[in-house]
Amino acid sequence: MDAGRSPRLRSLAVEVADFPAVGVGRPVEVPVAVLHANRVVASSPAARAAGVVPGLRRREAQSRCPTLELHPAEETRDARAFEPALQSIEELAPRVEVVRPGRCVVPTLGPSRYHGGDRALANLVLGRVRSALGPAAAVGVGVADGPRAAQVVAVESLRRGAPTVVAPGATAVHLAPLPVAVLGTVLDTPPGTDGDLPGLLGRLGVRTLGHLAALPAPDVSARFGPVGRLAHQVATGTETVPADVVDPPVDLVTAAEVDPPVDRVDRVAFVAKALADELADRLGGRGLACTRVLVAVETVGGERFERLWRHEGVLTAPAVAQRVRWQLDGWCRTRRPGAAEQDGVCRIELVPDQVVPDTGRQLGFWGGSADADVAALRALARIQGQLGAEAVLVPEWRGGRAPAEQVHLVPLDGVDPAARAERPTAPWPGAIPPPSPARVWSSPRPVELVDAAGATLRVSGRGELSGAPQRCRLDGADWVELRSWAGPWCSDERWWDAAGHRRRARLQVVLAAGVGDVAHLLALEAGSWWLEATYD
Amino acid sequence: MTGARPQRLDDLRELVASVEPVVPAHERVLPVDPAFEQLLPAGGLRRGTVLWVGGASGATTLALGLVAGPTRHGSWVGALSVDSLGWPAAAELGVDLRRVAVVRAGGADWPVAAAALVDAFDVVLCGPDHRPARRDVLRLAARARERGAVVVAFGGVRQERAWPGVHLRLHVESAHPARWYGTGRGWGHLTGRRLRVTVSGRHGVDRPRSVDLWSPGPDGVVSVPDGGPAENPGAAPDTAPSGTARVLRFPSAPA
Repeated sequence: MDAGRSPRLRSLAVEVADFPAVGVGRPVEVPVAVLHANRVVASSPAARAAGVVPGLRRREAQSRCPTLELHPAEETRDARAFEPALQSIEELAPRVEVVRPGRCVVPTLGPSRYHGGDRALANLVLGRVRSALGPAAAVGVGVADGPRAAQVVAVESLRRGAPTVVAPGATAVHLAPLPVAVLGTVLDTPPGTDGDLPGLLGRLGVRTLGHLAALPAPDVSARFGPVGRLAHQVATGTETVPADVVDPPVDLVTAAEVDPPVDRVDRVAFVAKALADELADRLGGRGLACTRVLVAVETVGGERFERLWRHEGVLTAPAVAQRVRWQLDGWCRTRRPGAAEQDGVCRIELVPDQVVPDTGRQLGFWGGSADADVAALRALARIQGQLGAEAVLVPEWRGGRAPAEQVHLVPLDGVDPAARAERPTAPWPGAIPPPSPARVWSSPRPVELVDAAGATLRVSGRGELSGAPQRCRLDGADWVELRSWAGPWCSDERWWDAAGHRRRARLQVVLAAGVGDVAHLLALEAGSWWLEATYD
Repeated sequence: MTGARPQRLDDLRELVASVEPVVPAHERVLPVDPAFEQLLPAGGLRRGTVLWVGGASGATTLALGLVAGPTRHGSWVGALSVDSLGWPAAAELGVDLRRVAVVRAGGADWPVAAAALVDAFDVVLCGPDHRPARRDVLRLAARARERGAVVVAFGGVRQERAWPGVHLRLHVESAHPARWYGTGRGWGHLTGRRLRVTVSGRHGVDRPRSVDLWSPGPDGVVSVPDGGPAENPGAAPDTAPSGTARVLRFPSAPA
């Protein structure tokens, strides 16, 4: 290694393919897909074999693989599932940096020497992670010069099934044939925005990392800024500690004593939220931003549990708070059963490990978050602290025929408030035309619906009523005459799935009550009528 | 000279407009949909007040229509004890669901959650799924007055007693029965409802005033009928219109 240059960050990266699908924790042979905003974001090997790939819409995925199990995307669950793997790596090498659930980076300088070389370490890590995550996980391990180059190599090694170790100094040659698009997975360059560096490079005719590496570093830096310089360093295998990293001032360490000690994750997470805000304020006061943070949690019993979290962009206050929550979740899950019950958390520490000058973020001309939105989200965080994280919900659009299926209330933590889905504009065949009922009953009440002869109404397999409905009775109350009715709207959902199969017929009825019309939505299922919703 | 006078008057008016004191928070109103503008004495939701929307039926639609305007003008709505609310209906009535947060809190947590919502949100919607204690309601009203939030509570006749001393009361009249249109005996689908709402209260309403409304109307939102009650699409003939074939909608059963 040249004496004059800063040491290359030889790193080992671990990548688990489709980690969200692995994190669900189902057996290998069950096809699993994880959905976000009605699109598949990850699918298990069994689902892939059936043709379910990321990007598919829910219905398309279900049509390709009828036995597919669907799970909503949930980062906390993923973080919890990744924890055993992290702990197994920590036994081999210190300073594991978690990029996100399913991907982490370890500096190899010391551990490699101890375990007998990069390849031996890589094999060891691969074996440990495989045994920690079980057979459902496809694990890739890569060693290269620089943490980002190692991540690229780890993704590549997934296909080979064995660790890929790039010899020191050979990273540029190894990466040269890869397309520039792989940079998108290791840099904060969201596609479709101004910051989409891989897309820009592609449009300019720089198609492989070899092309990029061949360009003079000062020119790349001048034309594409800090992100471009970083990309060039990845391509040439000369990644160092980012040049603009400044030594974090000691007084930026933000800590809080929790008294009395708490053992509920959501309470601790609330403290962490306040702490993360404080850290962000202090950093902001100095014009700095944090790219790597060390979260340390101490318990009454004297245990100290710390972990490094890195981010390709800049860690914002909510992101830091979320990572504290993931760490606590994982820690609670894997806590030794012998640990005392009253072993609560008594201290939380946030140490900004790498800070860079904050270049700021220009809000979009349209669609930037307004002050009211920020204030509302802050208030919701406070309510979460008082009542628990699950108490605050926001409506999210889903597809469906039944009124209760079209909008789901999801916990605030599970959604990105800036990118909420709009109401789907495409029609949903078989849905009842608007207006929708204003009250939807979560526990349907039984209803009796009879024709003039007093016989309970039926709907035939061809969707015809057995007679003209005359009277109905709600839950044992008085009989009420029908003024009019419409329907039936029939639906035969998930007929391919024995457990989820539902055949229903719905009827809008208008009752002539003494106080005016009352309109209900009744549903016939398995021979009996239910009050599903009311047009209140 | 005579021509210059109106000119100077205009100048004076402009001057008055520019030096007018800032409107205090309790005088500000949140904008509502056109149908409610003429219904509410202030032309909108006056900050710091508590509204009750009630009646034998139809209160939910009316309350959702009332908060729809503020959500589309940037205000957030915090909803409490609304477990049975149909959110698709809210969206159809014009509520921007991206500015809605629902808090699930009952029993002892209700006052805590309600106070936190009033502190931060322009509009707090209290549903019928929890009946608060009287003292909690009074405390909430005081807090709303202090913070400049609007509390919109709705529910049936039974929940009404839990909300004493509200500033404005919107009541769906049962003396003038509500009527649904669009369905016949086995055909059509619900399209709209006509009802009469009476506004009473102690905030700028001298005596109760009644207005006929579509709630919801044929265009999906709460609106004022333009043709008056003469227009009556629901003479509801007892038979299907001639020439309409009965469409079978059931998908064929799998083999």
